[in-house]
Amino acid sequence: MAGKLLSPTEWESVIDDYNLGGAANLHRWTGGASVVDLCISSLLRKDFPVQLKLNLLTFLEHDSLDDSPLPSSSLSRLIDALRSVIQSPSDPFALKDQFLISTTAIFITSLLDNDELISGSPLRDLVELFLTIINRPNHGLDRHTRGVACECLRQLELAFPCLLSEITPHLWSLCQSERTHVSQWYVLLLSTTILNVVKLKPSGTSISSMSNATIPLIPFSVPQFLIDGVGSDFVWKEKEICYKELRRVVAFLLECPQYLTPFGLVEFMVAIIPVAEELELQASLMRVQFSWLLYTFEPLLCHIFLGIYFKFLDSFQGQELEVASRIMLLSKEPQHHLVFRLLGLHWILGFFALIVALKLDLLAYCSSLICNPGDASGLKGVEADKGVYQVTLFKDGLVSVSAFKWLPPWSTETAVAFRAFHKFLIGGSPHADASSSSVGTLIESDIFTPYSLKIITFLLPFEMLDCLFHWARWMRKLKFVQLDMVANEFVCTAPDAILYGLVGRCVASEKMLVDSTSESKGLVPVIVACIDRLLGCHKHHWLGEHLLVTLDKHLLPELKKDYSLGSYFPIFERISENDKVSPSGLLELLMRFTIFLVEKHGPDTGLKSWHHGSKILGICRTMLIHRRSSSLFTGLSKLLASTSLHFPDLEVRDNARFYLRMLICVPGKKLKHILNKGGNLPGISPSTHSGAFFNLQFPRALSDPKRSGSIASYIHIERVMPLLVKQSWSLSLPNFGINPDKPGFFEGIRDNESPSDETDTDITMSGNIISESEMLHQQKEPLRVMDAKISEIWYTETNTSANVFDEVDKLPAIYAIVLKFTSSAPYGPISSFPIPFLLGSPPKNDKHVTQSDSLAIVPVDNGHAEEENFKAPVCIELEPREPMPGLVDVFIESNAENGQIIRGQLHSISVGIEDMFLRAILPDDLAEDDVPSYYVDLFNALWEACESSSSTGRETFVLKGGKGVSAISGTRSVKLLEVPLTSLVQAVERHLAPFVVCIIGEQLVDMVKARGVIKDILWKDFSSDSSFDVTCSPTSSKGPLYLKYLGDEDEGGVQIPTSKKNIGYFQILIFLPPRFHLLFQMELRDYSTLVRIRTDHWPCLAYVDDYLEALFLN
Amino acid sequence: MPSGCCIRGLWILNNQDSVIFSRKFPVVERRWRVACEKESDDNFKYHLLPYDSELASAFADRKKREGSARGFGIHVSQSVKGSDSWVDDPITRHVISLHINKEEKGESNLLWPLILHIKGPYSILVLPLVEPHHLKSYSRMCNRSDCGSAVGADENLSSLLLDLPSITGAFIVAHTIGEIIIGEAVESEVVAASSPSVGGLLDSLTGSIGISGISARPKPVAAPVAASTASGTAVSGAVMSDAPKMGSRPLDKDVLRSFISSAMPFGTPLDLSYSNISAIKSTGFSSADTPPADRKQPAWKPYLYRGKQRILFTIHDTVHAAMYDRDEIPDSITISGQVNCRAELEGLPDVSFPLTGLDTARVQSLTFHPCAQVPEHGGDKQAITFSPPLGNFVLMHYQALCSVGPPIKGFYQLSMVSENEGAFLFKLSLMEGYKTPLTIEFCAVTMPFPRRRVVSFDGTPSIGTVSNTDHSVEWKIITNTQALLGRALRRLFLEQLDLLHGKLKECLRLDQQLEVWLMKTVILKLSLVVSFKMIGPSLSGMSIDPKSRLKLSGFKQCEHEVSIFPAVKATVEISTQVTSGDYILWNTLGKCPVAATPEA
Repeated sequence: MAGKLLSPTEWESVIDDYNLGGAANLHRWTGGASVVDLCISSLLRKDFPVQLKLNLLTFLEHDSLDDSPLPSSSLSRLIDALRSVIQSPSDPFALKDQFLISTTAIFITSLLDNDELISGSPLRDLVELFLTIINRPNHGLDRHTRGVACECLRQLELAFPCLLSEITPHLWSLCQSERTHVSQWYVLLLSTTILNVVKLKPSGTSISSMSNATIPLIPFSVPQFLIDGVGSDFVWKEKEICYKELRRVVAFLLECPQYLTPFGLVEFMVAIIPVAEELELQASLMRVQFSWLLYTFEPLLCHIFLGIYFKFLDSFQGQELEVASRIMLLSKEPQHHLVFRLLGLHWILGFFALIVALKLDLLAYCSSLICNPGDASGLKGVEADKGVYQVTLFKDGLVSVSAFKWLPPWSTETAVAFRAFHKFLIGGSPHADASSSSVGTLIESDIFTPYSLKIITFLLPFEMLDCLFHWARWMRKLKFVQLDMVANEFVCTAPDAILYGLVGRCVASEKMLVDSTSESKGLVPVIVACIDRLLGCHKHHWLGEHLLVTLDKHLLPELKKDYSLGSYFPIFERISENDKVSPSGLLELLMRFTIFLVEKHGPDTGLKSWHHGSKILGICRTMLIHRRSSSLFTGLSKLLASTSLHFPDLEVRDNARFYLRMLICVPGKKLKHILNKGGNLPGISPSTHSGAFFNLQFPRALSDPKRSGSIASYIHIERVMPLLVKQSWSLSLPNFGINPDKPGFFEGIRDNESPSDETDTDITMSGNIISESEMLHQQKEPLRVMDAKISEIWYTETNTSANVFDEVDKLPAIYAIVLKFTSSAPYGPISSFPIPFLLGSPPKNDKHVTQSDSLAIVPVDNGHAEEENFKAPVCIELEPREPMPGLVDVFIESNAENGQIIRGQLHSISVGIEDMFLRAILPDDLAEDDVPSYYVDLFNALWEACESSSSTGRETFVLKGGKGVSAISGTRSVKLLEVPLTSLVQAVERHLAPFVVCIIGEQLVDMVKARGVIKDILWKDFSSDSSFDVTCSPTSSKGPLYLKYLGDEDEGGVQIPTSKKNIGYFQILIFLPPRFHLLFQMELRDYSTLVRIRTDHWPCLAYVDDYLEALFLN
Repeated sequence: MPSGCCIRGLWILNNQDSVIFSRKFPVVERRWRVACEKESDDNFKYHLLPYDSELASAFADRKKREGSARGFGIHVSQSVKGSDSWVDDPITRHVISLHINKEEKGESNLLWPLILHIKGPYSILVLPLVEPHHLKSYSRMCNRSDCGSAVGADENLSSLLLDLPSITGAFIVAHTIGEIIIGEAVESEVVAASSPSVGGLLDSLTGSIGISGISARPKPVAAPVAASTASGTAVSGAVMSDAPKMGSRPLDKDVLRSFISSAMPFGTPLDLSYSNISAIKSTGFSSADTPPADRKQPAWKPYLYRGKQRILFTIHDTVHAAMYDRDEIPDSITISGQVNCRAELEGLPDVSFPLTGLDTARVQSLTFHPCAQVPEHGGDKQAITFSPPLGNFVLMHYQALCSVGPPIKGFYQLSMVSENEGAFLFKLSLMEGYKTPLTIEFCAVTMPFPRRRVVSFDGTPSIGTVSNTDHSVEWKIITNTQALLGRALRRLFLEQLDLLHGKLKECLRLDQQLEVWLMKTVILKLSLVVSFKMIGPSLSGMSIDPKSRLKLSGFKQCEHEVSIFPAVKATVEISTQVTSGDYILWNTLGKCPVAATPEA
């Protein structure tokens, strides 16, 4: 025993730790010592409180669950400890009892895992101890402990069957003599022992007689057959023991139940029933002995009775009605907790399931019981017509709840009512039923279809299907299980009778339906959920469809054509999706609704009209997606046509025209593809319970997919000059354009790649506007924009639809395009850009039409023969508040030829740092010739100022116009570019030519001058500015230090002498609006260039780095 | 069949979803393990019982998934496959499953059936022993892929529940534990003429000593009683008063632990009588407690009474009524009741008495304490014989229709004259047409406005006082019993029509559109709740005649009066009281829920 003794508080922590996380947590406490040993030594201490000892015992029990089985030595120690506690006069009975219990539990778990121990002494010692305790019947003080010991023995007997078989005679005599309240424990011990004897029939002569004990009670020895091998060697010898004596024992036991507690009775029954069966006791005896159980108010006893009932069904013949009605009543008794009443109902259901096979007639009886429990007179008529009662019941249930209209559709009542309805519907064809034939016949059956589907029309006016009980809301759950039963009986009995009753009800209910339509609209989401559930099921898909058909047939004509119709749109959506339901009814309804909307339209109803119009179009769209257009053609085109002509709301009109055009012109498959592109369908709100908020959700849902998503894929806006930096970190937004012109260039998340240019405006400093151009690159697919002309043609010449399809290829024009820009980057307001008009291009085979129409088109040949692109330049003027890249969102608003308005968002344009580059602003009074030298002076001044050590760093400068002062705080940086000289020069010429202020070095000057791109700057030799070399180019080839360094052994061999030679310098001065500067001094060599960067706006360095890499290394 | 009731483990969680008490029963768990190992396959094998932390997190997960601790109960759109509500049965709000995720193994272990009983701030979970095939069956049920089970047709929960008494037993265990931790383990009330209510088991134990003066008992009397009140009543009382604060005081684990070790030492419950167990724990037995010589002492009666002998009965009717005041809807009045008893009798006598008023047309159900011998059903009068346990107990429960008219009749009208102002009128007649004199202890009428707030109120009652709180108006018609004892006043109440009318101003709680909509719809269905208590003959007609001279044909001896065998001289006291249950008057001008009554 390595560990120290733990203190009471430590033990408490140990137990808490163990409960929370198991034995793994224990090691730090025990230090590897055996938990049992630690516990035992603590248990024996006198100074520990009893309560803690009790906890320790429970803890030991818990621990035995997941610990490995205890060794024999530990068990022996445990028994010794137990003995000392039991014999101690000072220890309270509570501790003794718990010690007995825990020791038994530990023994059972340990011994079962370790067979060898059974024969060992610990078990024998333990049993002997128990036997000593119980062998004092009627002894007063410790009577409860004797009971506990009996229970311990019983558990041992249960764990090691027939352990006590050889001493059964003793147990019986003890049982007979015990008269205190613990006799229950003796009775249970005896009955369990006998059960095992009867069940397993161990061999051996020792138990041949129950009355004469041949073996003494103590000393106890474990039966030999248990030691030899548990269970395997039992010999089944018929009539080996004296059955007659056994019968006497059982007869004695059967007198006992009155003295047992309910739970004691349960255990007793578990033991005694198999014995009674084995002994072939008369079943009627059981009936006499145990019938009273049914009439107690203990639910457990009722349940036990049911167990006996099913065991001895024959002997209870004729009692079915009594039993069923009793359980039925159990569910109605208010003194029971809800759970037991629910259980009662489940028992009834289970009861039916079991009984049905045996006795179908019972159903009829039971149904009458549900109708009118306890009313015996009700039974008479039932036999004649089983179904009628159930019909009446269901009917009454439905009628009853008509008063519950005020319950909101999301209430539990409604949910449960629909659950019952669902069960009722599917009851006819359970999932387990593999044969589909019954389903088939059900569908075909003339009776069933109208009947079952009528039910939903029943339900519409009922917001709650609460029957059998009234007003007691708290009993709600209970009631609905009863509905289950009703539904159950419906499907179990002959459907004809039900139909007969229900069809009659339909006539009356329809009137009710019409009356309450407006009130029941809240139910729509629930109905839809129910239909969805059915539709989602493989087996009952057809039921859902039939419900839809019924709704289509019966509900639609009844609906009022007013604004309340809007609530029913979720149902319409389902109907429009489903191919099984003819669309004509719905289309007609929508048509009439449209007419209603048109008529009702006034100044106050503008929004309503738009709202409902959009919903109608949503349905049309769903139809277009889900159905073959041929079935829709007439109806839908009529609806769309009249909507586009007469509907008061412009947008709805336009959209209707749009759809109409699609319906007519686009082949079905392509149409579905186009429409599906928008993603979620409008009008199908995922939440079924948000009816009250539909108003808010709809507009957004409608506008989204149709416009922004798709317009951007037809109208592109692209930069004239592609950005050098394909993507900078500030632009890592997911929104990017795909240029169909240059698919090859597109890689990953990179930015736009069309040529671009921008205008930067700096109002504060100069007010100067330099604008360059950007192209609006519009590419259109013929069908994207509706052509009114075509529509008209179609209207007038419906017969020539073939022609229409040909002419569709003509491109429409769009007018009055306004592009609006916004950006989240720190730019000032961006003014919108109007484009007067833009015409579609002709298809290749129809050139003459185009030529005449395309006056305003700016054609740009992009080399793609199959797609004609038409472009207009767009210039965006930015007013950066800070020179940094950003993203500009573009929105388009435009009219089509027919006045239809197109709105939407195009792909955004990215703005790079190079868009911020401007030439420095010249003073007004500067002569043109002096410009180059002015720039050089400015460059040098700034270069010096941006040196952080410079004194100018702390000077302030008055800004132009006296609007403020600014201090220059410069930053320096360098960048080495490993590029060949020529490509560097080319890149500078291409992208930075305007900003070059000075070139130094004969060789470079010659080279650049010869190319003729960079002009009007200062050209210098190295010699002309000697200070330059020393101060600014310490690494130039002429510097002694430089040579020295290169002379290092590591690099000397690699460097080619010519490449070391400094060819010259570019000095570049860039103005970054609103008031910053960026200076480059590039030191060129043959294969590498060192760029020294200075700026007075350090954040721009992040972009400059990327820019330079893109500029030269790309 | 039938299988017994064993408990593998039980857990008590507080409202923060942490386990505050747990108990596992290794012997039962061992049995489960053996059964599992026998039936294990790829999908099914034995898992250790979860530790407290694992169980707590699984319970919290379920709560999150199912919306509340109990869950949806029925299949709703939020239901997830594999969860309880997928099974689509309301009982899954009480018999739940938990998925225990073992961290290290990453496998999920389904724990079912867990009995969930919520009591005060505590959630009690009890896991009874079932057979592995039951668990497999449930697992299939909550993972079915189709749209839901049809009633009675497929594998269903009902036959499982019928097959498993252990679930029923576990519920009883859970309820008993709930009562213990909350402190509601009280005995039923028995009224005696001398004092309004007599005490419980402990009183009979201690009382017997005091009266008979037997000095043989070695232990002093006061100590055990004080100890037991300290451990049982005092603690539970404190818990009860703390309950609204949601368990700020921890439950007394020692009381619970000792109860469990006595009631179900190995996980097999044997006796759940808390009063008996605590009496045994606190009092113990003395050598004076000798067992009866001739017969066995029942397990539910560990002690025998000694002292002055008497037997008390209380017939307690609870009236439930729904009154509509409409021609098309009949009023509904039912009575549920019970007969409480307290038999202070020495030895183990049998008591029998005639019970009258058992007309089958009115009495719907009649159930008895297990100690009673149930007579054959039928007839207006029956003889009940029982061997009484110690202390107060419920001898029987019954349900019946009202034998006379409703004790309080009337109508209630409320209409809204504007958005937030209503006029109401109600008229009540008390005990109209009652011949027998009844004493009304109190009578009050409440007008609840659960969703609205009463701002001001103005009404004139013809009698009594009217007051209002935020959400209700209360009219106390009778408050003082003493004032009614005079005959004149009683007459007044037999005949008088009471009238209260007035105006009501309410404040709309303009929270949301939704709320307004709800209120508009809900306002008109409001009802009036009547509560009262009367002393006098029972309305159900149930009565025990202590000294009746009626001779009945079928029975010879015991029908005449309450008789005790073996015969002793004992006083018999019988009292009756009637209280209101759900006694509701629906607004005549509004909508009301009603169920159809079956056509004859």
